[in-house]
Amino acid sequence: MQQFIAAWPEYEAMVRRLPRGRAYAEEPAHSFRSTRFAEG
Amino acid sequence: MPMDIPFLTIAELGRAYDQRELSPVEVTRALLDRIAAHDGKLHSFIRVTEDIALAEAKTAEAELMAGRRRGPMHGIPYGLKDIVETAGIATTGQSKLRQDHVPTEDAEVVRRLKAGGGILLGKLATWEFALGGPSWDLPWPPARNPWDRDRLPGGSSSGPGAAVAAGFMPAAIGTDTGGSIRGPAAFCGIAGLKPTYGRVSRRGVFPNTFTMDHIGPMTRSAEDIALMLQVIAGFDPADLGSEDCPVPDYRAALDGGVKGLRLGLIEGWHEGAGAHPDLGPAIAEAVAVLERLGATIEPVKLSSLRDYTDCKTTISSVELYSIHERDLRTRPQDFGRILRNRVLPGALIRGEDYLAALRWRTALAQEQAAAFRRFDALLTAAARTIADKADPGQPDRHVSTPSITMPFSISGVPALAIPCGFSRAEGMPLSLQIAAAPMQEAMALRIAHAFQQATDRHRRHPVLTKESSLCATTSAICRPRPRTKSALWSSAPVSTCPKS
Repeated sequence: MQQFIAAWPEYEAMVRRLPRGRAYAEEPAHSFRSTRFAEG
Repeated sequence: MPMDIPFLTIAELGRAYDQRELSPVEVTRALLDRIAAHDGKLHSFIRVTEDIALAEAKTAEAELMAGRRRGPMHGIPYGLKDIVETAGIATTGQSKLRQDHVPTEDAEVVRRLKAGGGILLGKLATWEFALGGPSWDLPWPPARNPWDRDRLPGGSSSGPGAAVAAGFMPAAIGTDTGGSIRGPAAFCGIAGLKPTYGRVSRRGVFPNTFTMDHIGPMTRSAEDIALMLQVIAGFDPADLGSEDCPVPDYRAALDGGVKGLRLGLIEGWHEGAGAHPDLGPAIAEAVAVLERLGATIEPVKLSSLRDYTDCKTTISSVELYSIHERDLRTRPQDFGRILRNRVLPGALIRGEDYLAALRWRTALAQEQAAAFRRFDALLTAAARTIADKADPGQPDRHVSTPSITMPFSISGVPALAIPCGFSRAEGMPLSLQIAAAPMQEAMALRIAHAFQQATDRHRRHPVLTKESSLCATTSAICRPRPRTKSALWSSAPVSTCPKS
């Protein structure tokens, strides 16, 4: 646990660097595609 | 033709089988002997499947003698990273959590290799579940680098990298989420391809993430990558990420050359702080070779490695936690220290942050798509350093060190590592990375093949000695040994490298 606590600040800094405020049309990669299931 | 069995390529073995100069049984026995002699110091195997290998070799030999050739992997020995499931053979993930796990079904990639007549030599070392490593607190020790046993082969496909470089097998299956094929390929001086996401089925391979796992070949030449990819690529309706795209003839596409191609050399990624001083000159020399062969090279600017690494690691940390949450709650003591420390942060990353990273991923992939409209392929290094020393006390640099392989994990495009030189002081391999547009594996392979036809970097191999697995710090080429027509079809054991 001590090692995890020591490592966490790097993860926290990583998350803080993520860019925010994208337009609604900018959707996540790998968004849901219903046709994929119809094909399968 | 050189007949030094441990370092024959898939293509050379195929020709030797056709001409009855070697048999699958002879080759398999020679490789098993070499593994027995040397792997005690390299730890590239978790399990050698000797009985299965010899039985499959005998079957292949009988079929080839009868003139029934199933394809390019027929009679070719190979190994599997031990997160790839094998029916009736333990698949451990190199973890205490699964050390007794015996699957009932083969992974799709194994089914295809079996159908293609491949010969399974065994299950190969990995970092714990393809992420936690290098670790000294697992049931098996970490694999070592055959170029220098005091160094590591990289990870997480550490066993495949070490075993192929050591001449234990011409080919292996690795997996790559953030660089786990390309890193070990780079550090071990072999070829490794992360195919397009969805090109090779993930079914039956223990997941590292849900959106960035790739399965691919590791061999000693681009030509062999093409031959192995031919057998394992293709649509699998049981894998939701699988793409239903035609599989081209990868071998036929190799000979197009690079004349007239436009290649983008990515600025800033393989240079600067933290990069090995010999890497820049090695990449420049490789670029000069491609220019002499007729390619046009232009610089191209993409987002920083820091950006790509942050995006990838945010996504993968959350997905990794989702995969391991139950075991983490019930059996935390059975995790290796490094894996546990890398899984835990995923519990503290918010859904909002995960989605921010997924949306950023879209933008980063679009940035690369724009570059692929200008260029036939992108060039950079496959690793910024040489292989690390084996040091259990080394701090975990999982987040702090920007990765040169993660950009193409983010975009899911094919990316190929091939050796392009050696560091002067340490004699360790350096590697070129070639990325192409989605489903354009053939383009990356064509460029790599042209480079390898004009150079000999991929023909240099570590020398293993009988007493230890120490290897020369300067590279050595195993001498071809003249052979007459076969002892072979009688299955006589054959000694291997003249140095062994």
